[in-house]
Amino acid sequence: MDDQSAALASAFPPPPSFYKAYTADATNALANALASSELPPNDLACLLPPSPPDAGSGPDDRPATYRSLGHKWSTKDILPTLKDLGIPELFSNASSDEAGSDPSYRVSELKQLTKSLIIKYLELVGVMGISPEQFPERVEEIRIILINMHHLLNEYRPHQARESLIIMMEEQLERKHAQISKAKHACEHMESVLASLDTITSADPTQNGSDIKESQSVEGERTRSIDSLRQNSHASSVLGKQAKDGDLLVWDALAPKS
Amino acid sequence: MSDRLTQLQNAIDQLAVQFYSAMHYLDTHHDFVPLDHEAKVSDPQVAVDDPAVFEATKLELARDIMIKTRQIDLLIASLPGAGVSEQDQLARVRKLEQQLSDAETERQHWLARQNELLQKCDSVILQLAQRKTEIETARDPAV
Repeated sequence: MDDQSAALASAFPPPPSFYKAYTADATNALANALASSELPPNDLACLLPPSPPDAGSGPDDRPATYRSLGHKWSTKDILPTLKDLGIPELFSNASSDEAGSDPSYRVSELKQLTKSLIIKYLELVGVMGISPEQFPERVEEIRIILINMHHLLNEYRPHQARESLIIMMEEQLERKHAQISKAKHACEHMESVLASLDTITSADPTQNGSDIKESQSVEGERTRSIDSLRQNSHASSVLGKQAKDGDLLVWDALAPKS
Repeated sequence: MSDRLTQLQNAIDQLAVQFYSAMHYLDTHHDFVPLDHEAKVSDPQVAVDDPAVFEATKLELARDIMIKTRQIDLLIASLPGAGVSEQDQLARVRKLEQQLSDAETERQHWLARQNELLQKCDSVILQLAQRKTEIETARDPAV
């Protein structure tokens, strides 16, 4: 048994000793035993997975622990308070865990702890010069200050996580707004192009063709309908060229959208 | 680039390492002072530095520690969201969530409109292409 717990505690534990036991015969025998609702025989019991660690039903119950990779883990993710770890708290911890507490107290506490840390170090250096045998006390104080600082920082983590979430959401919102305005712009452009095409294709054919003067002007060519172009295409070579120009105009109008 | 909190944590760890290394330097490089009428002791473990070098290094170590402390102070001061309570943050998150879903609806609307227009555009292009062929065949029936 000692052997086993030592194996579990190592950082890279070997495979469990029973991994060879999962033969086809053994698993079949186990399934049979379970099907007949008997307690499996002892040599098969180790093939059954252990029940999950009890998470503790009440809110005050200490959550169950399990071992993995050489460490003991709690089934519930909680940050143990310094009191639980037996380390004196150097900051006023009136409302550290309660929702709505003002996190700015941590900032001032951290600043004070930094100053204490430097002063303690100065003391330590001084003591080392005068009476070196007094050093353990100072080192212990420095250790406690450092642990306290780290604890405060870890308490700050959820706050920072929320803050990062807010920043990410703001960025996302910005991206979406940019996409919307782009889509809007594209739609408007397309609509205007389609509208100008409409005026070309739906213009009255009788207005064009016969009136060459008008069709020579840019405006005339713009409103020249393709139907009328088809009607006039058999006419003079001048008209044929104009018809070609009219086609080009239509394709020019389409070009930016296609 | 890690977040500020991790940077701060690392800076504190580095400060502790600097504490140790400064102490270690003082321990291993100091000179000895002879007591009255006694020979100056020596220790093979101690590589005595030149007094000037020793003083300069001491100053440098002290300065490094102070710079690291200033860095820590700066990092503490720039911790994100200081002075914002959890409730404020949650309210902000909820508001942003609402805004995001609104924006998403609007985006979908415009995407649908874009598709619609694209299809319209396609049909217009097809129509025009068809007419163009008609014109060309009418103009030059031989082809």
